[in-house]
Amino acid sequence: MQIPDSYEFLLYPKIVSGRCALENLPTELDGHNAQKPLVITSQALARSGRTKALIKAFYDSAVVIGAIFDPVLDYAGISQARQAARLFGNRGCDAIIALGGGPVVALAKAVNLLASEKRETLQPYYDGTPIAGPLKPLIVVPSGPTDGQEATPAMTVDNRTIVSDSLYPGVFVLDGRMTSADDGRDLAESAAITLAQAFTALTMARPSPMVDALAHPALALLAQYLAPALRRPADKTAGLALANAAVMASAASANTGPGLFQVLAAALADATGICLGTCLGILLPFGMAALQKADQPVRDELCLCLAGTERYSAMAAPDRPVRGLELAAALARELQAVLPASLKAMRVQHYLLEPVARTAAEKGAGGFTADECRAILTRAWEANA
Amino acid sequence: MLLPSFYDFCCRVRTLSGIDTLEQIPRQLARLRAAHPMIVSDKGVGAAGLIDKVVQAMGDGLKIGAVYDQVPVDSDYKVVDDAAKVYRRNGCDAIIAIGGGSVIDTAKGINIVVSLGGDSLLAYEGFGAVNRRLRPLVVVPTTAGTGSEMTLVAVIADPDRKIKMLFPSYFILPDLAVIDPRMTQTLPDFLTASTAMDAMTHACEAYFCLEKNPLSDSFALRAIRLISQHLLEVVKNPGDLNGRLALANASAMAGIAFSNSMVGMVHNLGHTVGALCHVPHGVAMSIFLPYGLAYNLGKAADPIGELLFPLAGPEVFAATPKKERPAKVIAHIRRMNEDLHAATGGKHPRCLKEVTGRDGSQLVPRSLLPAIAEATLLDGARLTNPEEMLPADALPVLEHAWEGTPLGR
Amino acid sequence: MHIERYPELKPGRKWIKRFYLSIMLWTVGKAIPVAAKVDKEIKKELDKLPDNFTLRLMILPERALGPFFYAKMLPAFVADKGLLPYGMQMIIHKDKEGKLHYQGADPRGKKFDLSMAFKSLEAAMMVFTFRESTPTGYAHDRFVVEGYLPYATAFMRVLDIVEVYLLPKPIARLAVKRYPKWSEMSPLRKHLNRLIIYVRAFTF
Ligand SMILES: [Fe+2]
Repeated sequence: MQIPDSYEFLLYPKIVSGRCALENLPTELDGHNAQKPLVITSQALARSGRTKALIKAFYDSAVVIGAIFDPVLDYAGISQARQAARLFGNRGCDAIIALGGGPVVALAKAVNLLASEKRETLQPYYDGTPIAGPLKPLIVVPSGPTDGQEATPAMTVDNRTIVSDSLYPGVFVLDGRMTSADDGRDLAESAAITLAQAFTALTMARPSPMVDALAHPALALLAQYLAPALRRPADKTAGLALANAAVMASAASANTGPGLFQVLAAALADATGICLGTCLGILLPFGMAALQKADQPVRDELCLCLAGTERYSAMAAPDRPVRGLELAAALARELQAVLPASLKAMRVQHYLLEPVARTAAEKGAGGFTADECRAILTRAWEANA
Repeated sequence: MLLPSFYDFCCRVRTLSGIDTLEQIPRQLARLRAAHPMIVSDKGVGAAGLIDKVVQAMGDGLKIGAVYDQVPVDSDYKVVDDAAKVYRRNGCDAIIAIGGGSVIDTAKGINIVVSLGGDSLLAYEGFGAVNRRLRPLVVVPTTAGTGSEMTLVAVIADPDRKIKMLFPSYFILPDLAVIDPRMTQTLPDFLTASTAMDAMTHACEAYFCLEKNPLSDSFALRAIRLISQHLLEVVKNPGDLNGRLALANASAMAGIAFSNSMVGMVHNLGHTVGALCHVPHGVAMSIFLPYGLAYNLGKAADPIGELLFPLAGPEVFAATPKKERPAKVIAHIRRMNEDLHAATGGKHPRCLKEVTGRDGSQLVPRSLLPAIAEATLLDGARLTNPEEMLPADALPVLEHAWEGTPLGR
Repeated sequence: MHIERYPELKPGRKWIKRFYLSIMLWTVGKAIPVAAKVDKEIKKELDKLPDNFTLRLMILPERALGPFFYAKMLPAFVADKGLLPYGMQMIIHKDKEGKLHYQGADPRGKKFDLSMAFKSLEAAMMVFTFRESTPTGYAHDRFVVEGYLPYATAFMRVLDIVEVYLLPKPIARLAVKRYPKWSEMSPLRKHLNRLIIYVRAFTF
């Protein structure tokens, strides 16, 4: 194993996962000297009754829930952030709990920023004003689909992104009661994002052993639990395992930045309005196949994570990189049982592929060429591996 | 990969690793809004020229507020209080700790006092006393072993009460760990060997003890692989910077693993012989590790067998049937100790009777073993060991470890 | 925005679990001093604690226990039953002669040398319904120890042995790391001691 000449690594959030994890919330708050959290969650989760379990977790503690702010849909916008920040101030809250994923967490980060820094707008931060001090404690309780940005220092509100270390959530509390999925489509989309992030971490050009160590369990858990979870989305064990994988992969991506797949899928999602998870789910199997043919072999680590020590050791050493890619592609193909099989099936116009490829190559800043992107898109369009 | 029914994991230390990372400290401190750090270190580190090296590398990027290099080997709270006064007198706003375990723990203690106020560390003893963000703390480890740069506990002695006080809190975690092989380059061979075996023990125990979890497993596995690939090479060839970097990385990763999964009986025994007979920690670890593995075979044979993969590589792993793997793991560690013994010209002891003090006298008289066994009961590491270990169980282990004979079951 | 749409929520109470845990704490608290007289092993462990030593096992850290105000107005014998705001505590005192006393659940006016606090009611339920053993509970951070850790390990060992006495074997096996073997605890000694502990702890 080669150690790179230099690297930087940070896994900021604490992870608490498993049986009774929710009941640790009062202690976690107490550890940050907080007694009155504002809970931010989505309409869908409130309707599904998940908030009830959250409220129960605070029984027999001294924590008063300042309010449960639950009108969030699938978009994080400044007006809701402002409302919630006002609620935060009115009730004298001292911490934020985000119950959910994606926009809920983005909104919670924004609320935290507005409330801690006592501002009405995010504009100064878009313009580059640095965030002054440490913000209030932010705890995330993942539930429902993820966008891969939860455990990173980035937040996207009104389609604009701010990145700052102050935005890292402090704790992730993963509990089977919250992480089991309601439907297979959401689950597959989240898994596609997790897979892309972990895959990027393990195949990046300048590897760091710590990023490997963080992405390894993400990929291993995905390989083990994706099939059972797709078969039965409500499965608690599998749901918890995938949620663990999602947090780890997201935290890994905070160290690696986006790879080819994320950039390409983001460009595609922008151009077509299809959600990021679906785009990734369609692109991954074809893109992985493309990497296989490139002359630079991927590292053995990918194979180790996906195959496990036993099978990895049994393979002949020169086969490991290729087998790693095959296993990754096979995992991505499992998603196709739920997600659309091709871009054509999603009614994406063929003429869109060219501009998407170019945008992606531009954003990728030399990491890959427009030709590579175009090849992947074309194959994904026709579903031609 | 098995997801445990419950786990938690936290290591919010920004890690910089590489052959030129010392130079980046000023930039990182600026990011933490500090510009006036106090350097905490000990005489040995200073004498080896390491403080100068760090200061030089940092250049004019920042003004050093004070240098406190009086940390003794067994640091206590009085040192902490003393250093805190120096920090305040010079108006410092951050700490850079340069040294091994004792220095790092002392720096953590100083940080508690200067951040939370008061005159003495004693006010913050106990769980939950440290519950606020502390001042920036940068750690530059000079041994590749203790992993203290990644742990969330400070262990500081109280000489009056003759106890070790624990200060566990997530806020104690350093903000930045700087892993630069220039810092461990001059470490003598036998210290390189024993400190690396300490890291090896952290990783192994993290892998088979009760609090193991997917993340700690992953970090532990990589740490073990790095140590077994590089240790002997570095001991034979001390100038090998790449190897040094690998060992320092391994030490940090083992630190991350055991800080989140705790250690077991090897540390239990090690802490006890350390306290009673002053056996250096790393030495005790390398001696007890094979016994800790053997003792836990009943409860943890599977994870112990899996250690063969990072230790001996995939080929040996595949060629060994599952049932024989645990025995081979133990044999492998014993082999490593033998090799290190040979490579250091006998300075790396293989059993307790070979451990000698500065004057060449035996540190652990055989007659003391029953007392040591009795005292093991008082150590917290006992709790996270998979197999119960009572004094009556510890005694035969100690006797075998004294003689250097394998533990029969 | 209608602020009333998002009301404030005060934490409720899980009365049945509180009741169960209070009973458990009371049982263990009563049993330990008696067991210390009967069982040499326990005595040896408790001898490691200094004299004039107060320890407690509590569920939920003290400051998390809401309305102290009311508790202070109640007569001690009510507050002491463990159901009221002082919550679930088990206090054991070792006096100057090294004798043990169960001191109920009222922490007022006492100074504690060792406190073991469960992080939440559910965490305590995990351990006291034997879904997690004491060491697993410790490993899973279900409780925190305040005080000198070696004393806590000694005390946890005492808890283990007391559980072996109090519980039928299939349950005790879940609760402790290693169920004593024939050699360590003979069945005669176990059953005899068990009988003595039951009779002496719960008859007066
Ligand atoms: Fe150690």
